Amino acid sequence: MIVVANVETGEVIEREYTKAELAVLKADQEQIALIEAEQAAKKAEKEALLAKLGLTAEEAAILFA
Amino acid sequence: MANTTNFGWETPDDTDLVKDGASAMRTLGNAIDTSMADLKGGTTGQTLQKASNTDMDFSWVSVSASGGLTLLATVNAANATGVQFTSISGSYKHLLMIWENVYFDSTGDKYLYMRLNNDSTSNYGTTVTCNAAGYDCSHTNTTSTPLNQYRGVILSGHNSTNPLNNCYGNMWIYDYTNTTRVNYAWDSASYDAGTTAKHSFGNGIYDNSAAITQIDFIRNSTQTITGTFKLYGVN
Repeated sequence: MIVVANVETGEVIEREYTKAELAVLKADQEQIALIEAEQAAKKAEKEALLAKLGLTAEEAAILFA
Repeated sequence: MANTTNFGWETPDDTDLVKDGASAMRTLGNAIDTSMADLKGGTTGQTLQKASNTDMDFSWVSVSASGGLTLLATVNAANATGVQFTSISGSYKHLLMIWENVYFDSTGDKYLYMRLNNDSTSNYGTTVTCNAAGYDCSHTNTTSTPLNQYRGVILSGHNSTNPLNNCYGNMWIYDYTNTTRVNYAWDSASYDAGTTAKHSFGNGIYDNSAAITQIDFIRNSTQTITGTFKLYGVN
């Protein structure tokens, strides 16, 4: 249940998401998954490069400090 | 004809005839009545304010309390799937959201994101700095591509009901009724994961000049939300 506070009236209610709201949330989840996958790929790429160079993330950080 | 020094109200000359006294008093009274017209009216608690540089041009206005916080609404969520504030008045300068003792019903770093004015179009740009390993700050928009939501705001990574471990934080939405530019917000949140504390600090824009009238907090996954959310108007 979503909790809704109407600031004007002071009323607080609980209700289910509407179908339209659920559709928007589904689109959000898809966008979030896309971004997270993109960032996971970048992280993996970074780790692979560090492994190739034989450096830890801490050692690499020292290089650029 | 003699006139008063400050307001120039017409008064009888010393040599005027007594028989014209009533008329003279009426003239003086009407002049005073006209000058004082703006002082009439107003309601309880209002303040008299100059309406222009013209003498005696006043208006009665309601002045908001200055420098204070007004609690607009409180939500005590208990295993909720979302939190929403609607019909937010435009009577304040800024909005301050404070959340206390917030936790989710599942482990693993999770967060709530925010939506303004129920706008789910690509109008949001946010950056979050955090040390929550499970996130890997993955809710940060690291590209310049606008998103459909204001990313991670409230985080928690465990399902403890211990208030000492739960998430506390705040968000400012600056000048939220200004319709001449985009909206700005910044936020911070912390929780104690047990062995380490996790923190996030974010800022972002909502690329729409409309005044903010609705705020939604939405879960990034299927976790339920428990905790207190307080919305303040700030003058």
